[in-house]
Amino acid sequence: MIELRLVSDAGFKALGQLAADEPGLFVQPDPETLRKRMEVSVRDGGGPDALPYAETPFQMRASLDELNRLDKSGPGSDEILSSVLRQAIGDLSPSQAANPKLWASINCFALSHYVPVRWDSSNLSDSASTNFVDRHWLKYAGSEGRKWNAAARLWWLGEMAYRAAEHSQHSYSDLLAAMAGNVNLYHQVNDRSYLSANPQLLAAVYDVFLDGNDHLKTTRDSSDLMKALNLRAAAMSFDFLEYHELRQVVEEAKPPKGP
Amino acid sequence: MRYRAQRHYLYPVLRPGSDDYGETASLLTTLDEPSYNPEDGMLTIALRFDLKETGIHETLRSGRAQCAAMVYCGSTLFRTRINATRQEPFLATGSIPVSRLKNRVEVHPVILATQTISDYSTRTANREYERLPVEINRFAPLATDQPWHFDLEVDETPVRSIFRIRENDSLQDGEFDIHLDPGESYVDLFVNQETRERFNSVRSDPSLVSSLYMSAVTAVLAFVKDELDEEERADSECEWVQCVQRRLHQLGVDIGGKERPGQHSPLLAAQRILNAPFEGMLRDLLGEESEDIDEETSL
Repeated sequence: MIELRLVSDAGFKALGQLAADEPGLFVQPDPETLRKRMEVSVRDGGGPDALPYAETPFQMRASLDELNRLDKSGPGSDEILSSVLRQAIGDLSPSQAANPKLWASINCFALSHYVPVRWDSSNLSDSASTNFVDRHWLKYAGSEGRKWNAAARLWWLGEMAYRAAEHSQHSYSDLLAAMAGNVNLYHQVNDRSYLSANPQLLAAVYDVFLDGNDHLKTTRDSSDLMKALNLRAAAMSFDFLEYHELRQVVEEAKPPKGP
Repeated sequence: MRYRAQRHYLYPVLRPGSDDYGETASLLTTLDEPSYNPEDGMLTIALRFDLKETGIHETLRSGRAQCAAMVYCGSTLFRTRINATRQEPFLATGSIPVSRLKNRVEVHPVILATQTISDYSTRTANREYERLPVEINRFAPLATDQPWHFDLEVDETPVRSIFRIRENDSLQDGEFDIHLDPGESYVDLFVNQETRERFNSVRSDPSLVSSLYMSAVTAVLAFVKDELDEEERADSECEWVQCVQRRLHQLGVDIGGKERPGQHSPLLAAQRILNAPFEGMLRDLLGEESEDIDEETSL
């Protein structure tokens, strides 16, 4: 087992402040400078009782070195690295996964090479860098975290594929590949969390996509599909429908293929 | 015609803020305090339905409709349905693994048609629905109530933690300004470089609650009240909006919203959140002993 020190509330707050002051600290390959700056910031600013780390460390099954060997930006490796991350992290309940301090600790101190490469921070302007660091290293709230937080995104890709696979006609690996490889659809699905929280509907959406509806990978068509489902959800409770009925609803809601 | 344009459905749906039905019709729901059993890790939810409307009542009695609670948690992407008892009193009770829930949990009360109702009719619907009886599709809503929500874990995050100090050298020494954006994780407080360095050396001092945080929290609450409608506030994924919402909820403070006056002004609400800083200052000045100090003031 590998112990990961989890940042405390004070540590998390200090990281947020450092993202505003010195975002460049987050993209350095050696995380120790960031770690020391956070510790100093907590000590100086948080009062005598403030500690930078939680009492109990997080136990990981394996290191995340494979992620840190990434050499190309973009989502091309998300499918493989999602599985690597989930295996390394081990069992994590959705409740535990809703802890932003866990993801901040992983992004800042265990994935210091992966995050800046995956999200290509090489051409970052000073004015945009605080928001950039916030988004990929620290911010974790609902769909934003599932889409943009570096480590949380990888975990959620696997989690959503796993949930959909319980109802889908396709395998977990096919679903994971579809989610990781089609960013527009994944984002649109996540932007309507009320719908995608229903695993049968999630399975129905991806099954329709995988069964010859490649056009749903575009922003426009995936957005049109989710908007149409949203409208239908106001007139009919999807929570009462079986998978085959939901699949029919998705088939009817999907926009037609272009010429 | 304006009146007709406000109709959301082709048939009357009993719901808050709508006049689809007359004043004698109502759906009141009550959510019991959720109970947690540490033995099996399950959280039990119980939602009671008190319906006063003859047409919907008849569909329930005949088995063509169902009361249910839809439970949703955005933090964990969890959603499930809990059906209520078929007989009165209508009670939806169900247990959910607590590991599937975190932070804000919503419970949506709804009464749905469980089969196509070809001849729905009622005497208490608004007369604009002149075409009754009407057909209502399977799983279409007949009635809803405002969603209930609860925080699974009491969030102890101090409201002061929503602020982040940033530099703006156009400000004079000692001045501060605020920038609020629901698209950002933090509320930015701007000071110039020198003020910031001076601030950092004394940031643990409780007197900052009165001088800095009191006005900043008031500004935040005024923004939340005036700029975000209640739906935007409830659905917001913005961490500082969520933090403020949770704290107001925990303290039972109601600042109202765009369309409705609240019981407490943003100024008063800020004092409640920061544990009465003016009172604390008076006590200090008069040498009186203070009572218990809560988290918000212990910096």
